[in-house]
Formats: sequence, structure tokens, C-alpha cells
Amino acid sequence: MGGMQTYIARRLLLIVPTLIGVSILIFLISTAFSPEERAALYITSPKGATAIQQIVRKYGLDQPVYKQYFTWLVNVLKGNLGFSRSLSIPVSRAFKELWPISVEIAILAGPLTVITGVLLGRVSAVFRDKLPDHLARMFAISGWSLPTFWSAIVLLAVFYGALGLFPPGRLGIEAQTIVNSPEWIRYTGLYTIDAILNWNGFVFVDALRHLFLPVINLVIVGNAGIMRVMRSSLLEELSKEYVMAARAKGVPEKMVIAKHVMRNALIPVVTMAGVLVAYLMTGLVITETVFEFKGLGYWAAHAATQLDFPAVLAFALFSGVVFVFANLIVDVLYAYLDPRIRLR
Amino acid sequence: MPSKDKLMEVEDLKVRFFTYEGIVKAIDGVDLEVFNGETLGIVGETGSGKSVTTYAMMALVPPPGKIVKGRVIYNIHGRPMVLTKMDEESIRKIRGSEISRIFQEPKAALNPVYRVGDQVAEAIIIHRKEEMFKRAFKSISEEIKKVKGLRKPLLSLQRSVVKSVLDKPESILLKIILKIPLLRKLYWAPLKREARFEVEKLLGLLGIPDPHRVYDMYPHELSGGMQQRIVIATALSCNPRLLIADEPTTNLDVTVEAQILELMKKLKKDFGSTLLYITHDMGVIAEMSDRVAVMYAGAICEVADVYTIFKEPLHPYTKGLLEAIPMPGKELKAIPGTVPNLINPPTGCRFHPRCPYAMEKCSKYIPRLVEVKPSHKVACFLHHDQILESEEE
Repeated sequence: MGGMQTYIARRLLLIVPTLIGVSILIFLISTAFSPEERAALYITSPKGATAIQQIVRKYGLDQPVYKQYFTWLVNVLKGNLGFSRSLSIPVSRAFKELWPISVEIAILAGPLTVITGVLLGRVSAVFRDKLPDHLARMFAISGWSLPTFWSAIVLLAVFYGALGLFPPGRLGIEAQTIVNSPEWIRYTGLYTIDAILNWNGFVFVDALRHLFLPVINLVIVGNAGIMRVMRSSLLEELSKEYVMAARAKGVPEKMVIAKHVMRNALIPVVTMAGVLVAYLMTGLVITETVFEFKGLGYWAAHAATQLDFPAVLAFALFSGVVFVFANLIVDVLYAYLDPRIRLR
Repeated sequence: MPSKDKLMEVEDLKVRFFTYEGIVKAIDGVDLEVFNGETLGIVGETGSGKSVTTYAMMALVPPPGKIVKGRVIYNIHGRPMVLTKMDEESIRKIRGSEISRIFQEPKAALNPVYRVGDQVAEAIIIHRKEEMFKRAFKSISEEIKKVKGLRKPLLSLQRSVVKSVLDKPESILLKIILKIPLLRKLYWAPLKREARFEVEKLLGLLGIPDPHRVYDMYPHELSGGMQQRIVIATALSCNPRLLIADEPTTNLDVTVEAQILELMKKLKKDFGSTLLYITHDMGVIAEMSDRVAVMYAGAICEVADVYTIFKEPLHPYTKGLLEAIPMPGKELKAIPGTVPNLINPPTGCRFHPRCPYAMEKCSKYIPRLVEVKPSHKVACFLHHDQILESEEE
């Protein structure tokens, strides 16, 4: 059966036009400012003001938009994303340094959101209209309605302010000293993984302690969506006739749920998980800012307040690319779970 | 021809569905017996409780339904088993092996995300595991003699796993093997291979062309008739003694319906099972069954052999059903009124509001199902005066 391979190949081909569309949309953001305004951001001293027109001409800001777009695109493809004024380093270098910080949060928060959402949804469907269901739904609804920044501040106030358990930042001072010392070997830039590879338990625990709150904050906001989709889709599948057919065959009830119902019920959840990626990206910006977790999201938020154009464009482009690839994974998973998709 | 030993008895069965709108009295005091080897047709309108009665026979009432009263007795080799009193695990072993079911809508009864062959094999793997392992042992032992090279040690490893399943199914080593991803293939691969062989044989028997290819297809790739054959194959896979067919041809084309009916008759003869055939189509009843039970609004109103039902029906509802069969040149007579709401069913005989012969007592008392002639039971005050004592709830 070559259905699956053809399907994946077609999805991969579709990515090219999608990415071009994304890049055009993102580039158009910059045209909201006039060429002079954009050039003016790079003038530091008053006497340079006369040089604005020179800069405009030098960087081709007065050319037609499509020409500017192509110049930008060629540069992006070469890896030249411009210079970030807020960090005073090139954007590409900022990415290289900052990505492990955000990935460390995302890699924990993403799967954890899906797993807890699925488990909660399952509990709530199995105990439909009983106490566990009501509790799970209340938890989900309140998580969903909380603004990310507000829940982040409350978590910080309770767990750091009152209890002193989970501090903000990425590492404590002692751990930071160890990490900055010459004996420390940087493998990935993810402190948790590097700590294991350096065989340093203290740094590992400290890194986890700092990761705890940002991750929890992203999870409680995101898993409500997953939980609600899981619950309704599980209830819908449970009422279908193939469930009775499986029971009539003598399949044990545990297997009826785990094998027959779950696989069907997970199909809409996978779609929801794709949407969640977008949620995670915006959540990351706010969460990193509140918890002083200086990764990509923190940088993007600060760049925006300082009109650091190349940084904002690069972050938007990065979010777009992540979202497109996340949806590719979702589509492949979708086809794996549901054979009916593969034919289309 | 059907003998007189009862395979199954249903005594005073009551099933309630606890819904938001209220308690639905879906089945209210059904008495029914199924004889070994016969085909019993159950006929009635939609919502008369035909399906629910037969679900109760497998002790498998779909939620939110519950059996609130009555017994279902299944006689196996003269030993009666009360299905309504058994624990879930022992009854599960009967479902699909002793008593199995063919569903009304094959498309809905098949799981859309699994290969059809695997869905048939599932029942075999659950109920005939030991038999499959014995066969696997034999076929591996034969294969081992033929092959050379690398496959030989692999096969002997597989054989030793199969042997330990047969000798000591409870051994700890086996349980450990089952937990390890690659090693557990040693257990599943021979089992699946034998089950697949069995399924392909069965599919061929059911007139499915190229069973080897169809095994790997998904339900949506098959036509309605083929899907129903898969459902029938699942039901037959463990040689059930009692086969419940719940309107298996309602959603099929007429030509396919004829094929499936023909197939079911042939299979019944070959497998020697007892068939319970549910339908609302009197034509299919005449074609298929030896005896007929007529149901109305959760109760049985008449039971007799198929000739008597068509020639000398006693219950006014049965007469109405027969008059409602369309025939050329005959004016079609519908039964006036509709099926009652079973949350608040009519008092007394549930048919009395629609009955042309209704008397005063019909609205007050429920008639008992009484044998008025040999092997002919009817629940109607026109033919006897016996009242069903019903306790108030």
C-alpha cells in the first residue's frame, strides 16, 4: 500500500506555496511604516537626520514593494535576517543563542498539555455527569478563561512570593556560576539535558525548579481545549454501534476503550493539538516575559516595544514556519490514525 | 428440523432506559423461548423492543438501559446458565463464541480505522486462542524441517514460545516476554498468522472474492453487501450456537438482500446454529423463519409457527401487520395510530388505543401470553381471560 507515502509526499510539496504565502504576509507588516520611518530607527545622533534619504536609497527602501520583498527573501534564505537593535547582535546569532531556552519550555509544555488534556477528557467522559466529570470541566473552563499573563502572575505570587518554592529566571546564582565555569561543557544549550550529560544533579534540579512554573502556566491554559475535545469526541464514539459490536464479540471492556474507541476519539484531538502549537507560541511570549525566562518569546516582546523591526519579522517568520511544520506533523498523524484520509 | 429442547428461555424480562426525559419502559414482561436448531423470527415495528430483547439475551443492554427484572437462561449441554446473574467476565466468554450477533448497519458495526480482516480475527484470537496456538505449533514444526539458514533458529525460538504458551500459560517468563516490544512478536506473530488463515478460509466460504486481498482492506473500501458479509463472518468465526441477526438486510439493495438471505440460510444449515432473525418485513419472516414472535411496544403479543401466523393469526395487531403488506390489486390497510410513547405507555394492553376490537377491560388489565392452541400463544382478551399480575412501580 503506497497510500501513506503518496500522501506524505503531497503534503510536503504543499508546504512550499504555504511558506511563500506566510513570508509575503509577514513582509507586508513592515510596509505599515514609510521608508523614512524605517530608516529613521537606525539614526542615532541628531546630525545624522539628513542622512535618512541616503539610507533609504542605500538599502533600496524606496524601491517597489515586490523588489524589496525579493531582496529580503534572498537574504533570509542566505541566513541573513538583519541586525537586532534591542540585543545589539545579528538576528541569526540571537536565534542561535536563544532557541534552546524556549525549546526547553515548549518541549515539556507541549506534550504535557496534550497528555493531561487527553487523560482529563477520558476521566470526564468515563464518569460522565458524576463528580470527577464536573471537577475536570470546572478546571478546564477556568484554565481556558484565564488570561495567560494573569495566571502567570498568580502562580508567581503564590509559589514564589508566598511559598518561595519556584523562583523566576532560568537558573539560581550558584547553578549559574557552575554553568559559566570552564569545566561545564555545552552540548545542546538545554540546561536539563546538559546537566545530565555533565552529570551534575544540582544544576539539573535547579533547572527543573525554574522550568516548573512557566510550563505549568502554559499547560493549564492549553489543556482545557484538548480536554473538551477529548471528552466530547470520546462520548460520541462511545455511542457508536461498532462499540456494541466489539462488546458483542466478547472484547474485554478495557480493550474496547483502549483499542477501539480511543483511536477514533483521538482523531479530532490531533487536529486540536495542531491549533495548540499557535497557542503555545503566543503563550511563550507572555510566559517568558512574566517569568524572566529570557528566550525567544521574551526577546520578541522586548523587540516589539523598541521597534526592533528585523527581530519582530524574524520571530513572526519563525512562528509561521513552526506552525506550518506542526501542521504537517498533524496531517501525517491524522492519516496514520484514520485510513480514510490517505485516499484523498 | 427444530427439536423441542430449549436453547434459551427468557422469563418475565423487564428493561428500562433511564434517560433525561424519563424512564423508558422499553421491555415490559417478555417471555420467550428459543428451541435448538430452529429459526425464530421476531417481528414488530421500530421501537417495539426487538433489538433490546435480543441484546438482553447477551446480557448486553446498551446504556443507559438496564435489566431490572427477569431471567435469561441459556441451556448448554442440558446445563442451564442464568446469564442475567453471571459475572461480567464469564458472560464475556460466551459473547461472540456461544451467542453472537449480526448488526443492522454493517457500516456502523465495523470500526472504520481497522482492517476488516483483523476485526474478524479479533473474535478468533479472543475465543479460540488455544486452538490457534496448537495449530501454530504444528505448522511451525513442519516448516522447521524445510527451511535452512538464519530462519531456522528464529523459527525454533518461535516454536519454544508457542510451546510454553501451550504448556504453562501462566509462567512468569512468558509474561515478561509479552511486555518487551520486539520479543512479544514471537507470541503474536504465530497467533495472528493462524487466525488470518482461518479468517481467509471463512471469507472464502461467505463468497468473498480474493479473501487474501480483502483481509487488508478498510471498511470504507467495501460495498454494503461485502461489509455485511464481513459482519456475518465475525459472528460466525467461533461457531456460535445461537446467532442473532438484527435486521441484517434492512439497509441493503434488494438484490444484495436476496444474496445475503440465501447465504444465511445456507450457513445456518452448514453451521447448524440456531437463528434468531429480527425484522419488520413480513416477507423476510415468511422466507426465513420456522416460528414467529410478534412484538408490540415492549411486549410479545403472539407466538406461533410461521404457517399459523400467516393463515390463522389471532392477535388484532398480527392481523393488522399482515393487512399492511403491500400486494398488487389489494387496497393497503394501515394500522391507525402510532407506536405509543414508552415513558408513559397506555394502561392495560398497550395495543388497546389502536385496536379495533378493544373492550373495556383492555384498558384496565394486561393480558397474559397464554397457549390457546398447541404451540400457539397469544396475549389478548379476545381469546382468553387471564390477567397478568403486574406490581405497581
